[in-house]
Amino acid sequence: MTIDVEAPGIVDLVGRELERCVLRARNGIRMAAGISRPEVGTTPKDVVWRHGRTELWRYRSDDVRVSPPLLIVFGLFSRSYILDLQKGNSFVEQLVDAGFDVYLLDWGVPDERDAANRLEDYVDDYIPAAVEQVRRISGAEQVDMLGYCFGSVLSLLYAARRRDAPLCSLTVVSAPIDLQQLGPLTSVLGNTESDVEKLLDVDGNVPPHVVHQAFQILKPTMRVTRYVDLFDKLWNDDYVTAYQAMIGWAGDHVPLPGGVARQLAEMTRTNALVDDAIVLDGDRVHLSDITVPFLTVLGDRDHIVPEASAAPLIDLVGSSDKHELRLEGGHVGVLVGRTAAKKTIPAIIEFLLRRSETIT
Amino acid sequence: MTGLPSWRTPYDFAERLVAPPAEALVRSDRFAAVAATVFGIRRAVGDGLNGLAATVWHLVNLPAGSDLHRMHAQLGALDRDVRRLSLQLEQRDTARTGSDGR
Repeated sequence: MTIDVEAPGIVDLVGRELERCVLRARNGIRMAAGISRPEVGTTPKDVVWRHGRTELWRYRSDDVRVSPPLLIVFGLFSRSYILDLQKGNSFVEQLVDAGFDVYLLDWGVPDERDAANRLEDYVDDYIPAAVEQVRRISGAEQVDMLGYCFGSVLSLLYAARRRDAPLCSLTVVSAPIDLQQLGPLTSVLGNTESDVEKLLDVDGNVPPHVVHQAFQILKPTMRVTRYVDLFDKLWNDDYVTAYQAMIGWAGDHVPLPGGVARQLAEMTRTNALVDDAIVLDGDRVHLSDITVPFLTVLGDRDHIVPEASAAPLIDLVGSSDKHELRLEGGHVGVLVGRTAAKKTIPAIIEFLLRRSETIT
Repeated sequence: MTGLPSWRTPYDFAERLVAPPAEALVRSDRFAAVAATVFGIRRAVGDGLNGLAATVWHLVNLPAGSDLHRMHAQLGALDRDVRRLSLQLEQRDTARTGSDGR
């Protein structure tokens, strides 16, 4: 009797597994041959300003309903297309759909001309110039600023250093504040000055493969687990596309300017952001000088910027209108994927909308 | 039905067992010290080979790769100064236009 009931189930299971084996073989061959590379960063945009390797992008929209415009400041370690990964899985696309006039400051790929770049270059020169461009193009008096990962640090330093900055609000996502909690990269950087020099390539920058290895090693078993996951779901076209896009990005780092690496080493040794000891161009910078409406977003499973690194920020910022959003998610998962689309991004949009005006 | 194939259970079990100590190890000071030493050795070997190559090129009165890198670095630093100056001039112009407008 039991056999009769289960027999069709077993046949179904065998049939399903056979079908999946065929799909696995097809997708495996496609991946190995490099035939099915997913398109990334596809939301239409224009380069509205360029200086050196730095570009300011404006995402096209016929339906801007929110003012002020939003300027996203990306980090210095990886490529910004993670924020616009794929159609239907894009932070930028969701912001544009919500009616924002979205700009993104992309630092490009540093080369030997950027080896001497220091934080001051970004905080005092590039970001203010980009903010001016956004104001000029949009005609708005103020801008909302959003920093992601190390872009958060740049945004925070900009807001702290320029108390008259035309900011309506500041949002930071996965901001590395306690640099001593970050793991191998900053541990190696933070040892001694000479250790930084050991990391630099002939062009004077920390090469992308070192940055990549530093992030990879944070989850030693991940390299195997991701292949196990892939084999498990190789039959699923959507999974394979998302996997290729994500894994492609995760290995797609850019060189870190040597000047910034030296400063990071010093900042790690003194834990400058936590201990209020940041010095830029000879001036002390206090995060407590930030007074604009403020939101910090952190993921509880973020292995690159762990909770312990991002958590001190809320107490360091001087704003009276300040909020912390702790979410279930990893470093990328707070802005990419289904959970982000349903939880984080709507929460960020709500925070921004409450401080914005609707354009009629 | 969890949808997971049967072979995943032992793998996930092993992964849960191995991952925490491995992650703790890579975040330890000892690991950082070993990594720094490895980078140092790699750098020292690279510098030694480059130095040897440079000596050979200099013997025949030709510039070595390290000379070119040094020149690139100097040009890069100059390029950076020019970029920063032009951005600062832009900012000054914007500030002046703004105050004139008011």
